[in-house]
Amino acid sequence: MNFLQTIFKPLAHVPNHTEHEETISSVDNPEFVVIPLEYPGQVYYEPLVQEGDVVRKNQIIGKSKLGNCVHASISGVVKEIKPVWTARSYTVPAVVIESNKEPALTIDEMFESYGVPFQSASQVEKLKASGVISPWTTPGKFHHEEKMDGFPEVKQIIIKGVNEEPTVFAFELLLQEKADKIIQGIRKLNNIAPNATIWLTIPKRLVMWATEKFGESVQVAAVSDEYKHRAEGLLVRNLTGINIPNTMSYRGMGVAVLSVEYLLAMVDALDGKEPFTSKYMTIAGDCLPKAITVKVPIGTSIRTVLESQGLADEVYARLLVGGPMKGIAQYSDETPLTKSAHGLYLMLQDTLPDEINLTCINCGRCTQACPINLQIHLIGRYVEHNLLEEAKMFHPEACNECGLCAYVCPAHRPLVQLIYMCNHYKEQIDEPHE
Amino acid sequence: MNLMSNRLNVADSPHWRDGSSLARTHKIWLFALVPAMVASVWLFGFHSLRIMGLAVFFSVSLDAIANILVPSKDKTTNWSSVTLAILFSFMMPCNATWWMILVGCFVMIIIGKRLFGGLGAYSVHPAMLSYAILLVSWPERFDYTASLIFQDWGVKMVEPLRLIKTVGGSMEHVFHWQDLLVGKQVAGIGNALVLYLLVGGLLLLITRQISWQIPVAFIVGNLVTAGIMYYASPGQFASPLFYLLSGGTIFAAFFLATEYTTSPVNPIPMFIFGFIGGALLMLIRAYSIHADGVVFAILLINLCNPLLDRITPKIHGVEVTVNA
Repeated sequence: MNFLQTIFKPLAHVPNHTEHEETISSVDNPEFVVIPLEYPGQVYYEPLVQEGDVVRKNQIIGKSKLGNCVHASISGVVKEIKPVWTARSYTVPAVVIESNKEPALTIDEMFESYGVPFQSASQVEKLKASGVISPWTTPGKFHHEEKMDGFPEVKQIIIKGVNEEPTVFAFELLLQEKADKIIQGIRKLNNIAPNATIWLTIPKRLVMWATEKFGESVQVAAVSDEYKHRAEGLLVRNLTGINIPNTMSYRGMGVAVLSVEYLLAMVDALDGKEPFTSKYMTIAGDCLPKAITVKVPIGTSIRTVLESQGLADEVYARLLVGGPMKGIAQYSDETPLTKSAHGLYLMLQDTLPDEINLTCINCGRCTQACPINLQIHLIGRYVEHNLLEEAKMFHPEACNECGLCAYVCPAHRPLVQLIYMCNHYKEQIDEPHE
Repeated sequence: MNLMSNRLNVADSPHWRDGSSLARTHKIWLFALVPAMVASVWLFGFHSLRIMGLAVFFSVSLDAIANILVPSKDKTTNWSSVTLAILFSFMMPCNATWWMILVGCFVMIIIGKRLFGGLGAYSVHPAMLSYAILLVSWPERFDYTASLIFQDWGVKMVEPLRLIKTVGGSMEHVFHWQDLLVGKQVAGIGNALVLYLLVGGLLLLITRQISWQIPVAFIVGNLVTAGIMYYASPGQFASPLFYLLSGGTIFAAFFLATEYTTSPVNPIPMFIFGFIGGALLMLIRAYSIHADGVVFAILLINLCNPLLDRITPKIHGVEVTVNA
């Protein structure tokens, strides 16, 4: 009778990609790195170095108004500071460093240049100096650093041990490989926010192990393998019980969301081990039998990372930073990898979906698949006919851009982009992007 | 940074699709109609083949010609005109002439579909529109009983609903429910093949082409209304099950009311839509001059669709709410 139950199951089942390497390998230091100085909508760094300067690994090369820092991820010479195209489709100034194999700066030297000795630095200063952009040092997504004042105390903390994307395993592997360090991190979080409730999301298949391991120190929240249940906005709503509109920051409601990777970086920062200069990411794709998780210095170009894994560039036709559902297709493999890139996904020529855009047949699968119940079939058609005001009556701003609507659309309509256009069209005309 | 690697393919997210397409969807619909098509050929023989073949030929040709004259995104290759043609032909009596089918297909494809803007833009089911126009234009040619006058399937060769309407509910015992179920009843070439249509409907449900709300609500609405009527005046009306098995109730519930463009997309409106459809069908059968009111019931609920779809579920993430 199983097949009869499918009638009542929710639509939009995204297949799970479970084949992956169980260990994390690291990528050698590259010949050069490109370190962006801006994360638009989040934080802007002022460069502290000039062309021709010799820098060492861990040296602070940029500082924001609030004192958040960005570091050189390899030792070398600053070749130039120039605008580059980043994986999130922004052109931002970046520092290009050519490797010279000098040893790294010690943590005390790094704090000295920050202006506060490590021993006397407060916890938040340690985080800022180490470049950990945590909810305690910035206001959160879509909100500029300057708006930090007046945010309420953090009452609820969600640590993401599961990535939304079905092909990104970096968080899950870190959970298993660095479990003890994560428990340390949770203790530290308890010190920073003593009154906060802390959740740790874990994939369902690890629930037994995780409850045993983390059950004492944190509330373990098992997340199903369905992509639909993994979206960050939904997790926040289900765990905290607070329905936070997509246009507001979680931090503004006293909720902090951080990933396991950031938690580990916080531990290193507070212990004075090392600043946040390398990150974990999963490389998956049709041309790989198993997804590989690697540790790479921030600013490494995608090509260097792929070449280190023996992936020549003839193999793939489309290169995504992120995963197949929300990932951004790159036009160049020289794009540097930043802190926000958790995965790479490679697609072969014959697995690319055909990009046809037909008329809506009103089948309503998008609306049934939508995790937040948007009337996507109406919004899409209104936007298509330039009726943006009418479309806005259906609250497109609540969209998380999870992509499930377009995933199920039989007419292959670019529904996410239509909603995005509805939300951003006017803004861009009124105030062009800085 | 140079732009040497321009060989990379760039597109919008999501980069995975579930493999559905309009052509695939309509092919599944056709596949779901295959059991009834086979049964129809077995029961009606050559006439069934002739009507279905002509309908498919006319509608696909008209669709292609229209697409050449006025190109649109509704390509003929999406198979929608084939599905519509089969749905339309199922309602035809087995003595339908070629020109009736041609006029029907013209109304269905050119007026019902193309003139409104193609697939996804029409407000009433094109097959139902063309059938309704044929029915009111040449009512004498849609006498199912007369069309099968020289046939004998070992059952009473009278349209069941017509007999109940003219003589009364007491005539119900003339028909056995098994005969009604396997389609041995006087009707169009495909609309009363209850069992085979049910199999096809189940296939549509399992492949998630349609949602369960509309067919279930349609059948429930039909049964409830028929039940009330039967309870009020048992002599005049037959039992609810009889109304369910005779005529095009199942056909309407699974294949006509669920047509994407003309049905709501949210669960609660779908349920109301189906329920109204089932109830209207019964009311038309009881109080109008038509024996089987499927076509008018479907046209009427199609018109309610935009209004019903105003009932929308609550959107998460619009305003701050805190659950206790």
